Amino acid sequence: MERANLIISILLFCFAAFVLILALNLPEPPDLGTGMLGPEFFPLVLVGLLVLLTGILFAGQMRERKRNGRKSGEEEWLPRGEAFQRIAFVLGGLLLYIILLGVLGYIAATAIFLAVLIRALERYRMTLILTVGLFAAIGLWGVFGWWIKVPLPKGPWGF
Amino acid sequence: MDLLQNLAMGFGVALTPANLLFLFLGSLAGVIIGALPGLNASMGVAILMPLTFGMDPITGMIMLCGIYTGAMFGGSITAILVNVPGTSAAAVTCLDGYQLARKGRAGAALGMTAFASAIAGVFSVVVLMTMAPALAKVALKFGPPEYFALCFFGLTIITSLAGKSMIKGIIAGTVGLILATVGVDPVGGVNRFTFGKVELMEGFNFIAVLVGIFAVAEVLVTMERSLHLSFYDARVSGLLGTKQDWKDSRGAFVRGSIIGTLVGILPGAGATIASFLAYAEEKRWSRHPEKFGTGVIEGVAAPEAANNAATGGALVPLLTLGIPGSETTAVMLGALLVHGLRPGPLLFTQQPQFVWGVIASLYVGNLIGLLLCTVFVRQLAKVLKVPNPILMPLILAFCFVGTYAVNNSLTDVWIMLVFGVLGYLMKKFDFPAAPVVLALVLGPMVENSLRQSLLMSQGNLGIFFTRPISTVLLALAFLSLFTPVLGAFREAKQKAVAG
Repeated sequence: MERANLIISILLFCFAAFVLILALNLPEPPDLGTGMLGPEFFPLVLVGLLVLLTGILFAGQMRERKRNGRKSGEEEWLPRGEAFQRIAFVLGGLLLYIILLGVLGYIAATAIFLAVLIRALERYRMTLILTVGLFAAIGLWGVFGWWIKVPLPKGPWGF
Repeated sequence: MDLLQNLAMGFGVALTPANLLFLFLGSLAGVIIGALPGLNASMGVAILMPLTFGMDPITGMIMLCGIYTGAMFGGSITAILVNVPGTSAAAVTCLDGYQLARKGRAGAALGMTAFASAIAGVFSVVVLMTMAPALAKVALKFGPPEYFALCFFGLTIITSLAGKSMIKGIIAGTVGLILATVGVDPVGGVNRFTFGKVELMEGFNFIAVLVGIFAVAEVLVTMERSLHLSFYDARVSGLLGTKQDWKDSRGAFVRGSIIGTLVGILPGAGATIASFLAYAEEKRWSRHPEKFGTGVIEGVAAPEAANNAATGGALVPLLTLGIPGSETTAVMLGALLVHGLRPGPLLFTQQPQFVWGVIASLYVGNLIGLLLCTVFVRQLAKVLKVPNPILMPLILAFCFVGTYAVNNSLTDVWIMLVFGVLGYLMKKFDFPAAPVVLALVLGPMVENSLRQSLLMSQGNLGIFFTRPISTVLLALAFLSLFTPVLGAFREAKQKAVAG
């Protein structure tokens, strides 16, 4: 975890620098009197705090690394093999789902998303997969589209 | 007298057919969510919250309270039958619960946890009911400096208690506070970090962030683990327990209820800490502590009483001060804001029907939870056998449509997805998610009260230390922040001396 923490520290420093630049470039509101603090005040305080805390994390990890040696104590911190595949399926499926929504409409896109994802995760019978996908899509549409009246995206066939 | 009149009014609200129906549905959903490993109360409230948009605020909140209490009831079912806690608050229940199931006493374990949960839940609501109005009266005297001190105190406790590493907890809270500054500056009216996007002018959509960080992240973590659970095929019978079970659990009920309620009231120290504390305390009080972990009934009664009592306790700071005391109450605060209600001391005077309706529904909710976990526990155990490869995609579809429903916007869905990945990475690298969410809720309050205080004092920071309440709260905040630091420092020093 030490290496991961060092990388995270560097990313947090970058994030702090990014917020700092944005905060320093914020427009000033008209002066409303003594004690009136600009919009950059709070973000700047927080950036300062983040840099301080990240510095502590970074220094602590460097000390640990020095004590344990470079290679000891390193563990896998990202999924590999099948676990990675499943995560990739989910994220890829969600991206595909968002794209399909605009094209096919809510019910069809949801049914396809569910069927593809379930099939990717486990080899159930296709009839079961399609039934679950279709019924769940219609059920969710019934609750949100029909009952709560959320204007869900429609496909070329009007639903 | 006022108390009884208010309570009667509350029951009048809670017992209308519609409210009772949604309370039952919420409790049922909560029990199932709590029982399913990987899902917990905060996630359940977050993903089902959009369903309440079409409801009256009271009905919506009653349903969410049903989910909250139901999830606490349900968490023990898998802990006992599968040795996997449904929620983190039920983790300690596994120790003795599963051992009891292996001895053929799954029914007694499930029954006693249900009774412990119900008794403790009712106890915590009695405390909430008696304490909250008095606290709300005190809070009416709060000005911006007191609110700043209170929010700051809440944040320090939350960050110092969350996760394995305190520094990571505080970093997570700070990042959450930075994210909370996105949107129109509340004092000067300037757009901050919106990059010209109209959707970001009101900041990140709270529900999208919640659903992402709790639900989507949790699904990704579950996907990474094995997707299959092995059930201990126990016969569930004897739910009422024996006379000896009741005798052995009496003390556990009382101690668990008190510990849970007190811990629940503290901001940040939620049901999980309460259950572990109650278990440790029960073991300390026991005449046979060596038997804990081998299947003793007190070992399940105490933690289950405590985690349910914590729910009523956690609602005290939410309803009286508008400060969420736990992850789930942070989500509920978001729900209240969506419904146009501002929790805090004024809620008691301006919306008495709402407040007392919710309090009364908690009594009824605990009874429904008891009913579900005793009469229908066999059926519920079957629902748990829905395999994860089917359940997880269904949850994602629910998260998706729920987030979309808030503003009918795909931007919110993207935000949900980004925060889902962020939440997943945070879990992987031991950064707690709760401080981010709580900071996101408390951030605007902290900033507003800080800047208003400084306007009042013409920039003099002394304003926080000249008012007694804010001074005490800030002293407590520094204490809560520095006590763990000093502890860690002392531990490191001892290690260095020893090693």
